[in-house]
Amino acid sequence: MDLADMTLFKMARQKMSWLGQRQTVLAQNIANANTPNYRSKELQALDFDSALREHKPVQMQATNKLHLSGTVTPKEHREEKVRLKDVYEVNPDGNSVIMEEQLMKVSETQMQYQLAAGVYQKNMKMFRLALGNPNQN
Amino acid sequence: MDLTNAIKISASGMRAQGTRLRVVAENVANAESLGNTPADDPYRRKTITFENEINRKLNADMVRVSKIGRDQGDFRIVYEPHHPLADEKGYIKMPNVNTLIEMTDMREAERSYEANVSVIESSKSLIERTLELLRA
Repeated sequence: MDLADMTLFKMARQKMSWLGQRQTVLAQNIANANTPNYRSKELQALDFDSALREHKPVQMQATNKLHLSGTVTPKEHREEKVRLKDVYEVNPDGNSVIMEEQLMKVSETQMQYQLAAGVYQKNMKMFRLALGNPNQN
Repeated sequence: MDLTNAIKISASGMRAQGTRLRVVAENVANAESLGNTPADDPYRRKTITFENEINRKLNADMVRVSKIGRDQGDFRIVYEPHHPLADEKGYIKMPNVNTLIEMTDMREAERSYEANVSVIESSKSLIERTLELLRA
């Protein structure tokens, strides 16, 4: 049994890595808040439907060992793409970072991260309980 | 790691805003700096522009100062006939620094700097939270 592959752990881990990456994108936006012609970016949201669709990549069947598998590797669950956001305000210098929005997102990321880490920790505690570690109540 | 990269990106933003603040300080300090002879130009206001630079290692858009230029706007002309630098008509050229604009610029740089600091704090707390998982 691989602990890291357990559903709840995996979920929390994936969420945390997504949030970590999002934090990077937000840091980038805020750092570039005064850069002319910079458009704010956002990470693609983790949603169940798209994850489900992406999780089943179709591969060509190789019936002969001379068949090539192609160079496109199946996608990971996590979408790495950062997309340009359609924004409602662009400064005269072409910058579209709205500081309030970005800072709100930062705090939201922080909250969700706390949640994911909390879930992870609780799950761990449940395992401890089941294993009956005498040092742990 | 993503979160340490976030800190590095914010640091680049802070560095850029710090440079901007330095330029503002130069402008304000030189708001009354005149030339040496009546024919000389007084201090010309400096301007600063940022640009983003893709850091291949971090795969992120960092900020850097692209250029510190000079404001080509007109100088202020003040009538002061008794001034040693006055021309034959009694006018002197003052630097084209508008203190109000400089102050506004300073505030904006300050706010942006603070925003970067708060992102660093937030990233730091995320890292700490991750490390806390070991303790439980």
